[in-house]
Amino acid sequence: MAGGHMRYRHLGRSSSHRQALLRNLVTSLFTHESISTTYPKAKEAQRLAEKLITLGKKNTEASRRAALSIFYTPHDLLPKLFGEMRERYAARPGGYTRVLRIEPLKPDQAPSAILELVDGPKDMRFAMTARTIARLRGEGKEVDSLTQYNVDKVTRFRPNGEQALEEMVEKVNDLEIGDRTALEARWGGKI
Amino acid sequence: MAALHATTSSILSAFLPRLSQPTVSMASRAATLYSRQLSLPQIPVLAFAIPSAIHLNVPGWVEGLWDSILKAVPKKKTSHMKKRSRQMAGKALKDVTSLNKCSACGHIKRAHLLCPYCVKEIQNMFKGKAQKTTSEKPVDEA
Ligand SMILES: [Zn+2]
Repeated sequence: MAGGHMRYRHLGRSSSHRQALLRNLVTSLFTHESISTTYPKAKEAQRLAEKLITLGKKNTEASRRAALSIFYTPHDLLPKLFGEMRERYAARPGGYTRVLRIEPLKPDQAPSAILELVDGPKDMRFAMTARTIARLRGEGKEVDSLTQYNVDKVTRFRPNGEQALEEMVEKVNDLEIGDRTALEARWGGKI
Repeated sequence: MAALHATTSSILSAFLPRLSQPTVSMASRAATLYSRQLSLPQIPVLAFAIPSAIHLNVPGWVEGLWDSILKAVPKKKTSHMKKRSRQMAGKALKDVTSLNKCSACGHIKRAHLLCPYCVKEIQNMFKGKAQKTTSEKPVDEA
């Protein structure tokens, strides 16, 4: 790396260790639809996950074999990738995954992130946008430009996007705002 | 034989001047002179020679001693507190100034990062955990 151009993050591991880590991360991502890890790991796993979905959309014998060699639990995940995922992302031209920065999770305060499958059942930006809309409606305000931008983003390729967002708004509207003082210590004192 | 006796007696007198005095009766004048000179260093000729020698030679010898062991050294071990304050100087935690408000709950959060409270609550909702629900609109007073 010294003096050379770094084409990818080595993540402080040997090639085989790094490959095993990324395979573990994408296996977890496709199993759970959303994972929380460090930001650099999330960005590297994102590359591999996007490539896997591209393989799923190709849906050939060769792409099946390539996907089979990446997942650690291929018998659970191959039907999902070549069925559910292929249909979900059929119209979307790339950008199947999303990385959102969150507060550090590790004790060394490493920057953390959520890696999620866009339009999945655990789409954090979708839920957060819905909650923002719920709050603005509660205060009787209009949807601002940034929220409108996010609304367009999360509903653009989602089937029945507008309707699904309305349902989510109703769902998060019932969600009570938790106690903000009880958890303060975890996020570094009074904020 | 006589020469040998004279030399031995002179050596003996040189080392043991008091013993040599009574035993050696027929010692040569030279031998007694040597013994006198060695036993009595306060002879004016020697007294003049020695101070000059001290003045020229000994300072060089003492200077070598200064260079090797007698340098200026700390009197006390630096305390842990002193050492840490010196080494950690200028490395204090920075204030977090990039803050804004969470659009979903109104609480202050770090810019470019999701609100940790909302993330936790939404994740609990996804997991289907027992979360307190209310008909009230989510508005944070803080
Ligand atoms: Zn919030």
